[in-house]
Amino acid sequence: MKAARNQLLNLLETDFLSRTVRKTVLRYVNRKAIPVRELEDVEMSVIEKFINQKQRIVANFEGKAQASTYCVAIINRMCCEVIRKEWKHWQSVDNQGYGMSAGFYPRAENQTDHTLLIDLELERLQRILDNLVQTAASAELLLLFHFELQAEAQFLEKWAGKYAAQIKSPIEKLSHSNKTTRYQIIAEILSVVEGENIKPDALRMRIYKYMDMLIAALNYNDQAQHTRETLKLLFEIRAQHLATKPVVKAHNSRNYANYVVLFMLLNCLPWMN
Amino acid sequence: MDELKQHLTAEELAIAVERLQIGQSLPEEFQRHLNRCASCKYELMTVLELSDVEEAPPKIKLGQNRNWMAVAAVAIILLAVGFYWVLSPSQDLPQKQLTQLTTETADTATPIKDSAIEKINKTPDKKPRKVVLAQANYTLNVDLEKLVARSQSQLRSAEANPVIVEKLGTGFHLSWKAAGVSIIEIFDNNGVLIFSQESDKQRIIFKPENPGLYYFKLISEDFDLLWCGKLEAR
Repeated sequence: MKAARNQLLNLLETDFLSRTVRKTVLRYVNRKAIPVRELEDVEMSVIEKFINQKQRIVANFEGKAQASTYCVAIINRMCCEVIRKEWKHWQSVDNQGYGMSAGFYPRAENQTDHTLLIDLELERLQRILDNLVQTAASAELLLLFHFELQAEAQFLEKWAGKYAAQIKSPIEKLSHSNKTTRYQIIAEILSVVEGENIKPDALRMRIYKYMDMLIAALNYNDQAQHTRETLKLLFEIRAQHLATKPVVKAHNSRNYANYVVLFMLLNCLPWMN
Repeated sequence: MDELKQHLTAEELAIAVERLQIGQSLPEEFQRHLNRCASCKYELMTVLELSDVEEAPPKIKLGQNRNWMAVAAVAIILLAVGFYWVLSPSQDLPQKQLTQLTTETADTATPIKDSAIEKINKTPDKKPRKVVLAQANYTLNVDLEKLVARSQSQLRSAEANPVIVEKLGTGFHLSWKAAGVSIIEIFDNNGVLIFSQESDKQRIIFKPENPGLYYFKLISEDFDLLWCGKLEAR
């Protein structure tokens, strides 16, 4: 353990801390969780926090993981703390906001509560998924199947159309099948709905193509560094989130706002005469 | 762990990230907590993303730095020359020409001293063809070397090496920890697939027919490349 702690101390002697803090803060700036103007302030706050707690951080390190990964986890946690603390203030300064009100942030002072950040990430994912589904109708469903997540019955029915009843039984089999069988079943389902003979290998390639398209869109302009692994986690978070509350669709909320304005205008017209 | 009351610690998150990076499954208690805690899962995703960035080689933007082009050009030329030198069948051509020249000149012009002829005969270090071919079997494969380097760069600790290679008489025993069905593919140094096996036993024995440099890929059931390594058969 002593050797591991020494390794950690040696790492902190280098520019690792400043590089990692910058990388972490930039990640949240790109996700619009931190306003660009606050970049340097947040960076300084995180570094300060880290230095102040250095002794405790080193003492808590047991050497079960690499020192660098451990530091990344701590720096990320500290950065989230700063966001949580400053979010309301940033929102009040810049009222144009990021599509969410200042009161959106939960009261929970829990160190690892990330509701805001999760919502921002899921909103991004949903926007991109909506675009992807316009060109590839089966993309979202195939990804759900691939990640072994359940698709809502309504969603399935909408996708399958007149074949909904026909695919019901194979869908039920999915949850208790191993991976290889799963792919065979999914290929069968897709063959029924699309009216083509789709083989598991072709299906696999198609799913990977969708995954890569989604990752490319999420990472567009260096906004993120998603991989297939992180995409899987993001889909799982989305499923957990959907189980508790529906994803806020940015364009939907904008649409509702437009309807409200239109409604008000229509109501005001008679008065204007 | 008391489910949702207590979140994963920073070190536990780091352990989880490192396990995912090498394609291992998470400890059961971590998984149980993550299945119910979106916050920890989000943190895991973020740290995984940031750690990947940490290990990734710096991006070279075209136009910003053209030095790499010159380096790449020189490397390609050197490689081409190296390949030509190793594989060219006409290695002995210069010597033949030289001996022809010496005999011709001996007949027609001023005689060349014996010591000089001896020197000329000695200079070309002619290697037997078999040796040259054997050397060719150890030539590095540029594409596979890149994959090996990438796998190595993702490796955080020596103990976590996903494929353990042990010498076993004339063969090799390859074992790995990744659970489930895995595919192991072995290539020769020309990148030609010479062995492929799907197995859920987490180990295989490979006996190379010829000495040389071999590369192996460990692929998951979903065709994800888990690891690329190399072994040398003498």
